[in-house]
Amino acid sequence: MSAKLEARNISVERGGRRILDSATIAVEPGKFTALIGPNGSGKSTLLKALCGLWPVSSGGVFFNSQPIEKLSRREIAQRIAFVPQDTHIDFAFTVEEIVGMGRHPHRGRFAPESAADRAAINAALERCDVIDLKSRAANTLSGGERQRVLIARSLAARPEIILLDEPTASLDIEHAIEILDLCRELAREGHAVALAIHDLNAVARYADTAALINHGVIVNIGPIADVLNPTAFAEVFGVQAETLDAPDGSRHYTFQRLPKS
Amino acid sequence: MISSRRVRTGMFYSVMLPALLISAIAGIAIGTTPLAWQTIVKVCALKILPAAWPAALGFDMSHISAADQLVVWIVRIPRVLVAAAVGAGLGTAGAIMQGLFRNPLAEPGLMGIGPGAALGGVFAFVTGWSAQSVLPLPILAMTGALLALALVYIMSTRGGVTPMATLLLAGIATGAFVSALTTLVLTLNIANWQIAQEVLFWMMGGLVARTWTHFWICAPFVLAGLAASIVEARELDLLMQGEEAAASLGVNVESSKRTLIVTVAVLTGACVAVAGMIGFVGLVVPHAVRLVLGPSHRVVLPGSAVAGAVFLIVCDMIARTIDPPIEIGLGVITALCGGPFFLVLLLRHYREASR
Repeated sequence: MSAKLEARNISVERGGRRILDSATIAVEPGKFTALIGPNGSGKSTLLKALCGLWPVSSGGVFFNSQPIEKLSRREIAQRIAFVPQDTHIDFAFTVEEIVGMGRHPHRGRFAPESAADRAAINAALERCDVIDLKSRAANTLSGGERQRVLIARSLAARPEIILLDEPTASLDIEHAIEILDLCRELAREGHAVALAIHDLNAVARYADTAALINHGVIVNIGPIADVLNPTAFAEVFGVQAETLDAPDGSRHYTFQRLPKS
Repeated sequence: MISSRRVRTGMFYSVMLPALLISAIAGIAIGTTPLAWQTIVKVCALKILPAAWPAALGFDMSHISAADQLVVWIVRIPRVLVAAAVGAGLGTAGAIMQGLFRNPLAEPGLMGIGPGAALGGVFAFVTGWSAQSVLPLPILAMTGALLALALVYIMSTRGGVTPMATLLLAGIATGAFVSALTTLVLTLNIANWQIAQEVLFWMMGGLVARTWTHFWICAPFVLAGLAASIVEARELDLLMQGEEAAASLGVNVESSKRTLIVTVAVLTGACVAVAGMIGFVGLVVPHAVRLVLGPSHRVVLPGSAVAGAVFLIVCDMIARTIDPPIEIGLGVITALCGGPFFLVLLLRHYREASR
């Protein structure tokens, strides 16, 4: 497992407005990459462009150096998983059926579920700790349970690259940590993991690399300690940060709003 | 629940398939001239099997009169078959619509398809073509349905992308516009009372005097539509998770949507063409089936076809036997039967869910 996903100078336009401007980023195997930035800065857009869901107006996205538009939706889905921010589920599909949908790109049109499908589904259910929920109707689950089910669905495809759009946004602290631990574990196993996230302390603790995005531009990208700096906090988020280095070597931040000048 | 769903699917078919056969035989037997089921079997044997076979099989054909043959083969069987085909078609179309729009209240009449078919049909009446032969009415209704859909689809597609919300709004607007045109054409021709009466009767929906021709017009499209939708069943499940989620799981969203929308138009067009506007089947049947079998379209689509067929055969039987020789509008019966049935299912479902 060593697939690499790269965006080279990509711009995305929607409704005549440029919402992502010449972004260059590499999502590397074995690395946990965090996309950070204020609301509406372009984090989601970047994730969607990276998996080919949204077309780019210039630049290109490359999967293992191959232009992504050369791949079919099916081929992309076999390798790149995307977990959307919207976890709403309308109809009474069971958790097992939802997770089974992750196998769609691997199954032939009329092919019944194979042993490999079954194994991948069970592994994903176990891994995301939703195996006990497998017979539940997905529209009766809590927000945290739904999030885990959708991550399980993405893992059922056995992807090499996993992109998650604010997976911890609606979760309580315990479940948020569970998801972040899982993401780090996946990265350690050689997956390339990228997620959009607002919790900067979590970023400091878990991510290997961070990309700071503001107004559709990647203003800084690199190791966490370099990206999370006072200038970035002040200019991008409009806050002042106090740093606290814990005895275990991890770094924590407390924030307060900058006085309006 | 997965395994219990499999059991439920088995139970569903072990109830619905016999119900289909029984309702079909009852639909043929019951009427102003009651017939024994043996008579029906014998007439069918006479018509379907090679000439020498019925006698060889020991059927006693001496009691079968020409009148029996006429009633069974020319009057009742085509009517029951058209009811089955239309019920199956509308049930399937409704299931697809509800999945596509991710909305349990969607029905085949949306997207301007129903009103388009109605305008086509009315056109066939006022031009007098429908009086000359059986074919112009269904052909024009079908054309109307497809033209309305094409208009709605082209209007709501930009750069190869068709947002469902735009499609719905364009469909409702086009539907209202086309319905107004239908009313206008009808008003201009109201002086010719006979035509106006025919049109109104057709628009209420019904299966009076339906023939084998009607069946052969409708059935191939219903079968093709059902087959096409089952091919896309898994895509429809995925589309229900949201278009972005579906695309990220490998669905070619726009092409699947296009296939499914055209399938709905073909199904609805074929059904309206031979039976007029029959409401409630496309709304109630898939919903009820989903409550019993769960939402997976691999079971919901064929289930809705079978349940829709049984439902419409029974409704049509009620419509023509409740107060003979007057026939109640079939649409009236579907709504009167379907409404309360739907409510009971819905209430039971919520009671179970809240327990």
